[in-house]
Amino acid sequence: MISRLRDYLLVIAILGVAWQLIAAWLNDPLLPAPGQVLAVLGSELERGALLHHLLVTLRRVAIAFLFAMLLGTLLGWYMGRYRQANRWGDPLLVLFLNLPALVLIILLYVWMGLVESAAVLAVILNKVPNVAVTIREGARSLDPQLEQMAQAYRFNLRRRVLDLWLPQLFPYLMGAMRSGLALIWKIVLVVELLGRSDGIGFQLHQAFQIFDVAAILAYSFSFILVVQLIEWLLLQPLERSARRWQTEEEPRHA
Amino acid sequence: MLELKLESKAYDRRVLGPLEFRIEPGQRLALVGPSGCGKTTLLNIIAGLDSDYTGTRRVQREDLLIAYMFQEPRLLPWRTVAQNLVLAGTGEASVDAALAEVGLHDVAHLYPRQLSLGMARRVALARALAIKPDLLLLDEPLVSLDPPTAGQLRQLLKALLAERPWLSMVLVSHDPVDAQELADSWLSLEPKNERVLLPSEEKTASAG
Repeated sequence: MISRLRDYLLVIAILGVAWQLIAAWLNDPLLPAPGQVLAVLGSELERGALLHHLLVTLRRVAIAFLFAMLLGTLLGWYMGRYRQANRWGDPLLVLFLNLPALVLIILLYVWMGLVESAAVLAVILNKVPNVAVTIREGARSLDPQLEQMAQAYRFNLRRRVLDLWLPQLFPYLMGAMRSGLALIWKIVLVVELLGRSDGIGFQLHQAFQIFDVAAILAYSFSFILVVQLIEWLLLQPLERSARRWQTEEEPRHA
Repeated sequence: MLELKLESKAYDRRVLGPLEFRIEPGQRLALVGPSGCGKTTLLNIIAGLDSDYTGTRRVQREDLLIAYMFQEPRLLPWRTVAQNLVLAGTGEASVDAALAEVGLHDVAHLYPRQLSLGMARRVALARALAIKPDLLLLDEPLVSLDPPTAGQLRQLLKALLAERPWLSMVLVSHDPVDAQELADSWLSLEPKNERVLLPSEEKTASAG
C-alpha cells in the first residue's frame, strides 16, 4: 500500500516537472505553469466558487449515478435471465448505445426546456445502456449448480439476492460502477455547459469564453481529485471487503 | 413417502424410463449403473429440481423435507462454512454440533476454498443432515477421493445413517461396493437396452 502510494506520487511529480519545463520553455499564457493553476485553484477556493460549483456537479453526478446503476442493473438482470426480455430489450439497447450523448442532451433540452430534470435525465439515459450490457453479461454467467443448490435448500428471495446473486454479480457491478463514474461526470459537464448556470461545466464554459486556461485546468483537476478520492475511500474498501473470501490465507490442507 | 412414475425423460434421445418406484420411510435405495446412464438426472427428478419429464411424482406430505448432497460440494464460496450451514436452514446455535457430527472441528469460520475436497464433502453432508430431512439424496458421495478418505467417509455415512433409522436415502453410485455397504435395495439403470431392472428387494447383511 505504501509503495503503491509512493509510485502514484512519483508519477504525479514527473508529470508536474515535465509540465513545468514545457510551460517555462513555451512561455505562453495558453499553457500556464502548475504554480499558476494552483494559484487559481486557491483563489477560487477562497472565493467559495470552487466548492459551490463542485458540490452542484457532485450532486448531479450522484443522482445520475444512483439511478443509472439501479435501472441499468434491473434491465441487465432481466435481459440476462429471460430470453424474451432480451429479445425486446436488445434493439432498444443498441439504439441507445449508439445514440451520441450530445444528441440525447440536445433533444431533452429542446423537449423539456433548460431544466434540472432534463439535464439529469439525459445523463441517466446515456449511462443506463452501458450498465445494462455489463450486468447482462454477469446475469448470464451465474453458476447453474449453485442455483440448483439454492432451489434444493429452499432459499427465499432475500437469500438468493444477497447470498447467491449479488456475490456473483459483484465484479460486474464494480466494473459498471468504475466506468460509470468516469463516464457520468464527463457527460454531466457537457450537460452543464449546454444548459445550466452552475456547476463545473458552466464554469468551464465561462473560462473558455475568455481563454482562461488556468481556470479550465483548475476546475478539471479539482473534480479528478474528487473522483480519485471516491475510488480510494469508497470503491476500493468495498472491493476489499467483498473479495475477502478470495484472499484469506491459502488452504491449510493440500 | 415418495412415489415416482416416470414414463420418459429425454434430452435429445430418451435417457430414462419407463420406470416406477416408491421410497418408503427408512428405505435405503441405491441407483447403480455406468456413468452417463442418467443416475443424476433421476436424482434431480426425485428431488423435484427437474420437472421437465413425462410421468408423475407424488410426495406423501407437501412439507416432506428432502436434503440433497450433490456430487460437487456446492458450498457458496463467498460465505464461511458456518454461514453456508445457516443459509440452508441450520440454526446458528447448532452449527458446531452439526459439524462435530461429521468429524469437523474449527472449520466454521473458514471459507470453502480453504477446505480439501474430503472436508468440503463432509460440510455438504453436515448441511444436508442439519436440516433434519425425511429423505437424503446422495450423488456419488465418495467419488474422486483417495481410498483412505473415501473409506472414512463411507464409515461415517454408515454410522450417521444407522443413527437415523427413519431417514430414507437414495444413493447414486457407479461403485457396487458403496451400494452394498450403504443401501438395502438396488435399482440398476442400464443405458444400452433402455430397459430398467426393478429393485431387487434383497437385503444385504451390512445394511440390515
